[in-house]
Amino acid sequence: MTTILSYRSRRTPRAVGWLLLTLVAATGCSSKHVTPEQQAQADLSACDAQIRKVVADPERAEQLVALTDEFNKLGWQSIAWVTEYRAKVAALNSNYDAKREDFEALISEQDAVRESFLKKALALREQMAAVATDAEWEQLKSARLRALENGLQQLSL
Amino acid sequence: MLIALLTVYLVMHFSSDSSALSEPFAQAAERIKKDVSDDARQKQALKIVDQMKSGAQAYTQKRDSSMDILVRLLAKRTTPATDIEHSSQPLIDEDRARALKLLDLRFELKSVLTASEWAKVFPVSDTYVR
Repeated sequence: MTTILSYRSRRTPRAVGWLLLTLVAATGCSSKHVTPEQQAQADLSACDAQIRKVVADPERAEQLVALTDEFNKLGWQSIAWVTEYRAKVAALNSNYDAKREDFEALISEQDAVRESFLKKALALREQMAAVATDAEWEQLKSARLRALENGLQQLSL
Repeated sequence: MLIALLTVYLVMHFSSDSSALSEPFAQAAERIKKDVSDDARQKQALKIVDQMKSGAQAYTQKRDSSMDILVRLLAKRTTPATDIEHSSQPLIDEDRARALKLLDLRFELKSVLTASEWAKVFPVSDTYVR
């Protein structure tokens, strides 16, 4: 299985590092023995276990596990991207002489990337929906990846 | 399946334009009070920052009510991706409109402050890193 943070951009180690530190506080995982990466991995393992418990058919269960892992990676990639985008906006804002066109170009670039992220997310959701039954879908509503959810929440208004 | 995760994922993306532009202004009011000594310009600058903040609250409320519809769609397994995309579009449009409004206010604020005041209110060291 791919490690939780193996996706992360090499260009944003500082940003992701800060994000993970924030997540430690947000998720209450401040134990000296659990790193944020380990917590995120534990969330994913627990979610995978829940899928295998709910979906009796092993083939479909493994498909759902793989799709969930893929969504998890997409979620962390989105966080890294939005964190980097915010840094760019803040840097541009600090420049007194920055032009409006510079901001608009950045926003347009962000819009295009967002569209691509959303399309991937909805495609994954559709694949998950095709693999699960109504009853399984219902039971897996409660499945959580809390560290990822917290990371996403912190980047929302 | 993973409804909470999908919901926060979408919310984060639906506010990504405007939240990036809101973030630098979070501490602006305090710094304007400290670093802009001219009373009239300080008052004017604070009024603009207030407009930024009040707009954000109204935007968040409106977005949250639009999200309710989307959450119901996400909860239903058979909802086609096209329906979710269709319901997402107004949220994306609102986010972009809000970002452009913030941009208007940013340039309004710039017209009130000098370059040296701007450097103190929005220092490069503040470059956003979460």
